[in-house]
Amino acid sequence: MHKGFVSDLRIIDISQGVAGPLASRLLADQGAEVIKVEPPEGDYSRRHGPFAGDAPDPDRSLTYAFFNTSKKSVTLDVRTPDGAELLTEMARRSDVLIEDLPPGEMAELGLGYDRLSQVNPGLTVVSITPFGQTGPYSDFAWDDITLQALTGFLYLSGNSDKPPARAPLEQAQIMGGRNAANAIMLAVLEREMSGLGQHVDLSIAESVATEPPFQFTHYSFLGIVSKRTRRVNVPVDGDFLPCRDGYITMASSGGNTWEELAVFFDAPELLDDKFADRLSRSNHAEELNELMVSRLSDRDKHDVFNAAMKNGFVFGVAQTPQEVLDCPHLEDRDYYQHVRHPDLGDLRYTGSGFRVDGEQCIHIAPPPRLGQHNTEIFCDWLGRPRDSLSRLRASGVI
Amino acid sequence: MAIDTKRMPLRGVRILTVEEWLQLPWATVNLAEMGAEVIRVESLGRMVVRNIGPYPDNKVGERFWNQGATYHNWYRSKKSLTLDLRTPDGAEAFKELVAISDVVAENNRAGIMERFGLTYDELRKVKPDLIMLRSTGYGQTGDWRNYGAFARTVEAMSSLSHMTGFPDGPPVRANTSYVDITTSWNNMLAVMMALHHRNRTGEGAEIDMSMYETGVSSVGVALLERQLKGASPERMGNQHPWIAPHGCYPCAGYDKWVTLAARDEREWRALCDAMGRPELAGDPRFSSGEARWRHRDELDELIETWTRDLDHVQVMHALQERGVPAGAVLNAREVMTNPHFRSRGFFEQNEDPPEVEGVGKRVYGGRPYRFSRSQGRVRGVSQLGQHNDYALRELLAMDDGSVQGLMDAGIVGTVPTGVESMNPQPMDIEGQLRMEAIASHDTDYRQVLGLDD
Repeated sequence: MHKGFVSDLRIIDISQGVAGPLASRLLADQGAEVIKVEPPEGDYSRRHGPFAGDAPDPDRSLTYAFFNTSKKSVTLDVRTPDGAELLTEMARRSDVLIEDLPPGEMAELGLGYDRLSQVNPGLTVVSITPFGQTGPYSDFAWDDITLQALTGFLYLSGNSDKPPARAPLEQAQIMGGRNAANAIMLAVLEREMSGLGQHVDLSIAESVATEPPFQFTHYSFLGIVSKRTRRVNVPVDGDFLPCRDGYITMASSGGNTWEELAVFFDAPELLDDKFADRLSRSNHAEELNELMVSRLSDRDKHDVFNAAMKNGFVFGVAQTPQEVLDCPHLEDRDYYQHVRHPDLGDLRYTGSGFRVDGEQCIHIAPPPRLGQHNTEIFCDWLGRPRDSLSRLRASGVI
Repeated sequence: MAIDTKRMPLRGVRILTVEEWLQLPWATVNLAEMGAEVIRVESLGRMVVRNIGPYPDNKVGERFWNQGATYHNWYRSKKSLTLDLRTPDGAEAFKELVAISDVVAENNRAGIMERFGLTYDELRKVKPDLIMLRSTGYGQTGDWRNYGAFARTVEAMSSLSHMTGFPDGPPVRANTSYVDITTSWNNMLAVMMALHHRNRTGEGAEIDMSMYETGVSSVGVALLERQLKGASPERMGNQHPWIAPHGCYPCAGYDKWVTLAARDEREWRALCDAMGRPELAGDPRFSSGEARWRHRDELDELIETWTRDLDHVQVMHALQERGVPAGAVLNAREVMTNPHFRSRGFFEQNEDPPEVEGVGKRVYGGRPYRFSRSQGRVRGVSQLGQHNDYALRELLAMDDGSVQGLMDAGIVGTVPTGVESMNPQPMDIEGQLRMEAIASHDTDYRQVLGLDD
């Protein structure tokens, strides 16, 4: 495996939580050097669960452990003059700076894009905020669920017989982080032509708003407001049907005919006129649902899945996390990355989602302890004398 | 409308794409709108997304295959070239285009490009530093490589569905096509990183993207939790594993909701204040974060009692004024008319030129990033085969006879094969409303969006 697609890039990341750290992690996965600048008390995700063990411990937060692999950690209070100066020095020698402070705060600290670009015209600064740098909501208080709500995402999530159901595990911020990584690469590719960096205003909310694939065009083309799927409309097209050990979902339009489905389930009743097309199936949804359940309730979900997929149907199993960890196909693909974490032991991390030239392509090393690389970065790299670190520490800068 | 591609960061990059549905098309939309020249190679005999509506103002035109809303959204900003890749002449023209392109992208089932003789090894012969993106449900290798995939089936496989929904109900989907869209962003990322690598080293790459693996990477924290604690999150609706209150509460009106969370003492007291129930802040059931989490069901009932008769947007503002995270659950119309998104210019108009039977002026969602020097933009929507001449005559310098030959053989054209047997229908809006398959139908949407201005 080569050193990684972006092994020449150096990224300074002062962001915290999920969105910004995911953006820099996606580039670290492909070889970028990421220096994570944490406030002296650490990235706030170090204080968030879930924790390995039940007690909070900054080196045992799994959110931190997942989103900060392969990074170097320094502590620095960028809100102090000494901190701002050290950060400027780092930015001078780097390709990208990621920040997630409230809009305007970087400029107040003397770290605005105008100033940093004078120090390093090739620097790209990516500002990641919930609602962007401008607009009436730019100072809104937020949580992942409120971002899913304000973007149309949550309205379409779940079934219409229930309230909207949020996507768990901070998915709004994950969407923001993926788009922030793309914004960085757009700026990096542009710099290869112009030689110049730029400032990027990344809105997590707008990242989430682009997710639902129909909502804006359906309204713009004919005034239709889409809604969550109604369960009884879709027993064979998207709903989850119970097997003995869990749920499967199926698509009737995956290349096979309805007649083949009847054969597969040994259910000639499906050939009745009342199930002939989508509309009639929808009109007889309860009956169809009962019929399917009767064919599935004594079978194992993975057996149904494997048999169906080998026959060209398109089914899915509502797998549990343990089943995903045990998945033979992911094993075939060398998907999981083995990481020896100094505090958490041997762990399997998820891969990048893609292989390059026939191999899983990801560079992954354990996440850093808080301030683990202070000496390496401040003294060896920036040339500060070693005895200055204790002064900075005493004054709370690092 | 004048579009200044000189300010687009991917200017000069040419991408050939053989794509259908969403997970690759949405990636190439975004690459095109940031400046890449994306040429979509389509087959006249295989109209999939072009054949689904809904149609503009619910009217099906003569050339309906250029008019669908789904087509306009997923294939916008790209050029359209028709080529039947099953024929030797079609495959040969494709190869000639590969020789002058940077990237080939495709999301057919594993094995299809091999059948056409258009493998990475074969294409590298004409373009040694080619980047080839192959994006499928389960990847190009392993026992599942030929398995079909839709976003919803892969989302289920990733375990996200297992963790989404309510404790007393089945798994549910997080939105309609979540894994398609996250894969599209990953497709984009992989292509751009490979371009950067090529520019630096002169090396191309073959990228084997898996929707399943991308979906699983979005739940990585849960997999770490499972390994370390032997447990992982179960469905808990809109409640949160350690924060309470945290939820989605009904408001006045049809299907109206507001979300909120109070994560510390300050936010909790501010919430009690907004509810006009300051005494709750001193209630021993809610005296600490842990106590509130233990009594979260009671808390949800109290909050619901407060929100039930109020306007969802007003509740949001009342809470935001006090610094409490809150967001109204907005539907498409509400997002498209929302003052925040509008003030940022998030929505963009595109107008089909008057000389084609297109869709006129429509509004599209834009992109989530703004650059200080660079620019992105919706760049028009192509008619089927609109760029046949451009690709074959201008780029490949084919003569009239050769192009005519391809047209006569049905390899190139502007009308789908078998168009007479297609039966596009307007949407039965009344029926959809009766079945509660859609939330509402606004008849004044043209005015609301300024489409007639």
